[in-house]
Amino acid sequence: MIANRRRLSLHTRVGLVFTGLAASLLLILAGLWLHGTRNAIHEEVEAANRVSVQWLKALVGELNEVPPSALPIRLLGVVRPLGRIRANALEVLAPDGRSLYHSPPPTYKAGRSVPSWFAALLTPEFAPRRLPVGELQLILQPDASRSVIDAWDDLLAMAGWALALLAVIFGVSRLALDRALRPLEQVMAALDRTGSGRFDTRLPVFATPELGRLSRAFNGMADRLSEAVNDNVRLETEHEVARRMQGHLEEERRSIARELHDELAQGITAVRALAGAIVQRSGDLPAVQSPAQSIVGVTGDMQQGVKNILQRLRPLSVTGFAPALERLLGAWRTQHEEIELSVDLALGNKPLPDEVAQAVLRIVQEGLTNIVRHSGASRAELCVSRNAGRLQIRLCDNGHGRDGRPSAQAGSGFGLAGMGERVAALAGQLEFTTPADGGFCLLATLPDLILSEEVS
Amino acid sequence: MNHALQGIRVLLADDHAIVRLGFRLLLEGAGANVVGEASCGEDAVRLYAETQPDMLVMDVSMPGIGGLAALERLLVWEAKARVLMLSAHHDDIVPVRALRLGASGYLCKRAAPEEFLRAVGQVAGGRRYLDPELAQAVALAQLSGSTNPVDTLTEKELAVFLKLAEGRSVNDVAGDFCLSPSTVGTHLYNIKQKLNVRNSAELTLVAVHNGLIEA
Repeated sequence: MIANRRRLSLHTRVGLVFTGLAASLLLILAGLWLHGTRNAIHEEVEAANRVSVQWLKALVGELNEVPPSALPIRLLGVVRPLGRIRANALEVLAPDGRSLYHSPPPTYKAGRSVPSWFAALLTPEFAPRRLPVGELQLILQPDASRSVIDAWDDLLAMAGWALALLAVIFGVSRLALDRALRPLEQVMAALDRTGSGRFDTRLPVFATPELGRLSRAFNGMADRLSEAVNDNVRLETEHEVARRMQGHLEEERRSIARELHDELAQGITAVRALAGAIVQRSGDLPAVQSPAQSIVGVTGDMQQGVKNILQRLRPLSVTGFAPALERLLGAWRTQHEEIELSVDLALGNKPLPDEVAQAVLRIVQEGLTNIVRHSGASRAELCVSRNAGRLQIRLCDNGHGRDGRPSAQAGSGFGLAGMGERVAALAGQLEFTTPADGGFCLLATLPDLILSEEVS
Repeated sequence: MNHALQGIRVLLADDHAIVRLGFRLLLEGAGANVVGEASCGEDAVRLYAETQPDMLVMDVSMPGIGGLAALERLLVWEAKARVLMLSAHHDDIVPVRALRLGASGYLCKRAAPEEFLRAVGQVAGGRRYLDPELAQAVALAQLSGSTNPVDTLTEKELAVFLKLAEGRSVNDVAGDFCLSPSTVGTHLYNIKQKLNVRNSAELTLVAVHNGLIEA
């Protein structure tokens, strides 16, 4: 049953509701009409009854002088032509209770009857009037059946019209709704299209104000959605490009380093040795020995320069990164002795990509700076751990939480926005939390993948 | 001209001819006698046997089996050989290895000519020599019991590791060391286990990070 109702379309349901309302109204009207009709019939029959009784009384008065033996003949002679008196049946009873006369059945709508319930509803209750005429009795019985039949006929006619009206109401409301809700089909089609990934779907602005708002809201949402998708695609592309460029850069660095080491450094070593040999052999030729000595000195500088360049080209190894971090923490500790800093480093043995190492150093530095500037903390805790291809930095303090602390939103100044960009550039995540027991927590997670491995 | 090295017979092994020329002139300028020049580890071992020099000056990285493996072979054959190892790198692992293997001295190639001659003089005189620039790192590595996993490699594994890290294939390395490819494969397996690396790119990276090869 419920399932059945569910299957009805909205249009049909709203139409049914309208029709039902109208039908209820009509039923109430019908009730009122019935009430009125009942009263009218009552009054009519009663009035007819009274008039008839008075008239009969006058008639009967005239018959008082008639001798009792001739009375029945005279009475019947008077009564018979009368037939029924305005919806009253007449009956003449003999002194022994025999019926001497009964008026004929009504000729108006003769032989018709109404359903008994309807008759019971409308027929007024009247006691028969008895008029004694000598020894005879004249009985006047009010009969409302003809009025009731009239009322029934009226009711049937009205019911017919009412049904027609209800049908029209149903049809018209359904049509009107159909027209008004036609845009919903478009809305649903648009939602389906968008749902299947066609973000270019837009709705026309409908004339109906509510639907107009709906379509504007939908179009706005679709605009945002396609912007977001475009942004994502662009970011992914940018990330991919950056990754490739990073890979090429690493490759380039490697080949430059190899070139420097294999060719330049060896060449300088050779020149240095040769210059050294000249110095050895030119003790008696100061004009030769001193420039040769200079060559030895300059080549030493050059070797130092090559070494420096090679070091810069070489990615920060774990062994290079850990000391750098320790140095940073040591310097900070000596500068801010008022803040107790506990450190837990679990860097493992695997090499760390240069960018990640740089980012970690920068994030730790900025985080510590913020603690000094904004937190008023007396204690701070730093954990750096590597697990399952991810490096995590957790920096917490016991200061006064986020109060006056910049948010992570872009443009908030201080170090956090830059930190966010740095982390985002490495496809990592940055979170700030304020634990229930106070303080401020920074949590950065970076992928410690080795880019060069993917490229090669 | 000083003659501090007068009469010392030296064998030179370095894959750069011009570098060998420079060292040769330096050595000869100091009175030494360069009895041979080798451009790879195998040649160095062979020439040592042929020329019986007082000492060998050998670069760590050379084609073929390389300096460390050549040193090992040579010392197996001639335990008393005096060898001064040269390297362009400045980490602590290779020097420690070389000295443990039995090299008499270890010098960075960037050292000044006088330092080079002093190192040769020390080693030729039967003393040991360690580049002052490396001395501290080496001493610290020894003291602190370095946790670097590269230290856990055996000599053979380290030699194979260095070759593989340079990008040579298992078959190439097997050829260099006159080993069967399956033996090299076993070494490779052990190396990967010890260094916790998965592929040759990571292997190279570990080597680069440890300064064992240039990037």
